[in-house]
Amino acid sequence: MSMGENATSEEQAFVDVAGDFAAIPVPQSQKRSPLNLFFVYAGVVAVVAAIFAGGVLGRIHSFQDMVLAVFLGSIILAVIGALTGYIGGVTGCSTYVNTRYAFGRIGSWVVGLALITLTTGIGWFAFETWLFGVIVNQIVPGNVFFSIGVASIWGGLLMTTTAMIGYKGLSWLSYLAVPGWFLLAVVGIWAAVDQSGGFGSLLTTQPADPKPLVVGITATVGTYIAGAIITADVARFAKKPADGSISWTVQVLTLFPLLVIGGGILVLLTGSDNIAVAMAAAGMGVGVFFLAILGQWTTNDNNVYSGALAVSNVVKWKKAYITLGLGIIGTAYAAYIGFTSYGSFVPFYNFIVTLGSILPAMAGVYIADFYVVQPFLNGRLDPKTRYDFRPGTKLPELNVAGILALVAGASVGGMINELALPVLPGAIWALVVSILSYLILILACRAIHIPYTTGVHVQAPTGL
Amino acid sequence: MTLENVKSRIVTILGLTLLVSLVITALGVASGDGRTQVFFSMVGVPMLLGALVGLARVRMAGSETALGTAGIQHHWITMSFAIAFLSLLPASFFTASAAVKGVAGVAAVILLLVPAWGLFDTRRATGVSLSV
Repeated sequence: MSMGENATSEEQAFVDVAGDFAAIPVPQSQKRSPLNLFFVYAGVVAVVAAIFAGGVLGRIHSFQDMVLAVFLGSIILAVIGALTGYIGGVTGCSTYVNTRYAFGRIGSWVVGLALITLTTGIGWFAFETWLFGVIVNQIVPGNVFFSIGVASIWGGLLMTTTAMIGYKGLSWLSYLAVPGWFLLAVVGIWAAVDQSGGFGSLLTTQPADPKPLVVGITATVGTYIAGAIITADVARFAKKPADGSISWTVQVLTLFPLLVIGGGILVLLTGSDNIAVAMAAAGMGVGVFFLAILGQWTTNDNNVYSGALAVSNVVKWKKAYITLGLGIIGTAYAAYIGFTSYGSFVPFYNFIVTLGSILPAMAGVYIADFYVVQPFLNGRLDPKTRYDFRPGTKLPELNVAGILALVAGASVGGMINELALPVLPGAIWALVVSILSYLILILACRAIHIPYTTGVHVQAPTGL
Repeated sequence: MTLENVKSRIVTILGLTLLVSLVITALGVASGDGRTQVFFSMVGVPMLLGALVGLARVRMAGSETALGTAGIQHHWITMSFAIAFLSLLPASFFTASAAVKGVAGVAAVILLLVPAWGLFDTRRATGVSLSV
């Protein structure tokens, strides 16, 4: 696909074989406004599952502690997402292309496919699709079309369509759905609380199972950490390098806490986080349908979109077909769980949550590479010169230091998560340990003159 | 098609949005139902403020692109609010009279259809993408 008549001579050197600039920098003529990025990010968090996640906090914290935990957790997410988003804003490339420096070309394949396509593109997509089936079935029980399995099929395919169109599809849907969705969510929470006696006792109600504040911070960070490390997938469309970081930060410090605290208030005051059932009981049948459909749709199209981007970093196939393939796999799995009464999502859910706790190790390595190694060890102080993906540029096939630091960070993060220690979230440990390990390994290898990269790959015009 | 003509049409739509938002807020206040008052204000006030911001952006827009961007973004947001408002309006949770709900429903349909037309009109006139 050509880069268009408005492309600069530098942009004309690229060929977009996958479509949607999946493996090459986004040309300036295709960049979007900060408000566009804000709504696409907000579309990810606009989901009923975010309210359910807030429900966890309502069981363990008073209202005051819950607000503090969500506020601190949101700040951590804002910092991580802003750092990774800025890299995308500078290079115009997706997370998986950006990681070619930190992990090497083949390393970026493995990391992208194993950590993003598997967790976000298939795992979370399937889970959210199944959850959509469950919610729809609760609203309209006893109807085949709205049974969990059948609703998962039509819901999953619906969610795949906008992701197949590409970033344009995500934008249209987010513009149309997100502002109204937040109105629906706020009214839904209000209706549920109102029917259970109102907000009067909010400040005095105590949680059922009190836990230290750090547990709430951990839960808050864990809810959205996968989104925070792949912000470059959206920020690559930013007109100015910092636009993506600003849009991410604003939505994660405003809309995200609104939903999580709303879910917490629901549980604290009503004992249940089932906003869909509460809204249906308040006679909001059409509203709750929109809440379920639009919310799951704006989130899940982003999930499968990022999963497909990671695959586009490996093969030359059209990204729309990759998206369709991943969407069908995720939908089939969700429908299978929905149809088989013996099936359960719990083991798979636990698996992707565990992967979520080690995912930040990936972000840690490439944050360390972009913000420390490239400027201070390789002398590339100007952010625009740090990562170069133009045709003819030579990149390592494998960055062994990056892979080892990833393994170190992921192991520590996974271990902390497994032991459920009341310290900072496993995700944060994974991030910090991977950053430190990477820097120590690079410095040590340079000091004793041992190469830490192997092989050389010359970038093609296709970006592959 | 001159820039002034495009600007005039976008201002007309935003002005209509402002007017309808005022009607929705006023209907809520007049409904006599506490829940309806809060709900209609949750819709009317942000849309009213949004329309004012939109009018200011259009007034300051110095190019077709800036004009198109402001118009398209505000039309999308207005439509989104209108869909949510329409879907919640019939809920038995809000015990306003059928007359209040009926008038509000007509207002919501106007807020859905007029910006929908404006979206494509602005796209055609300015060449700005719908996913700007």
